[in-house]
Amino acid sequence: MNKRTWTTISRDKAAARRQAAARPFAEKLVVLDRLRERAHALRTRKPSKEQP
Amino acid sequence: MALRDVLSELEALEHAGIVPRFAIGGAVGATRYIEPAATEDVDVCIVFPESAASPLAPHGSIYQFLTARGARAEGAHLMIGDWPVQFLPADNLLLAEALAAAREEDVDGVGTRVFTAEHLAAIALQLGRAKDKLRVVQFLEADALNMDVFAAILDRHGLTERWREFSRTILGDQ
Repeated sequence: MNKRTWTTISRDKAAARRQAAARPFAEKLVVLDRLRERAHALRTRKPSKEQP
Repeated sequence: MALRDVLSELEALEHAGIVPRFAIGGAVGATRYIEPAATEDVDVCIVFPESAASPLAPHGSIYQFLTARGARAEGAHLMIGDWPVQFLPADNLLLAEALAAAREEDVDGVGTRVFTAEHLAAIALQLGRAKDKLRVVQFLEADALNMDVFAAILDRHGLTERWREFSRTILGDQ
């Protein structure tokens, strides 16, 4: 991948990060709630009974 | 119980006069300025009332108030709904300044207070764990810091040399 592509990708990512950071605090707290729920669900998920 | 409800309980705690002032720090506080990232708990920085019943157990009145409203103690945390909350005293000059300078926020009708981005980054630099260094990078990438304000905080709290080292090793500055 050439340098220009890397530059474009990192610039787009930086812009996306700034955009995400600028969202309202209340909205971002709801995202934290969802992330926590998801992490909890992953931790408490029962292993499948099917054997390989 | 969602984070907004946790903030509502903290607001009630302050309104009841149990703590004179509180502010949200850590990853939840950082979320005010940068992208949300999964976190285990809510860090709440507080100043204890001078009239705290016992200097050895200053959390007592906080726990008493919140457990009466449904919270439960779990290790070093107080579980408010689904969220573990940790109460940290503002026991050094940087934390005390951060608490005094914390900004008021309204979260869908709930009043709360969050450390400024510059104080959160300075605290992360002072703590210096890998996750704290990453947070400083995130603040920089999000353009969340007023660098003049940040530099003044670092200077006041003897962190300028640590910042130079961080800039050299992590940011690759010369």
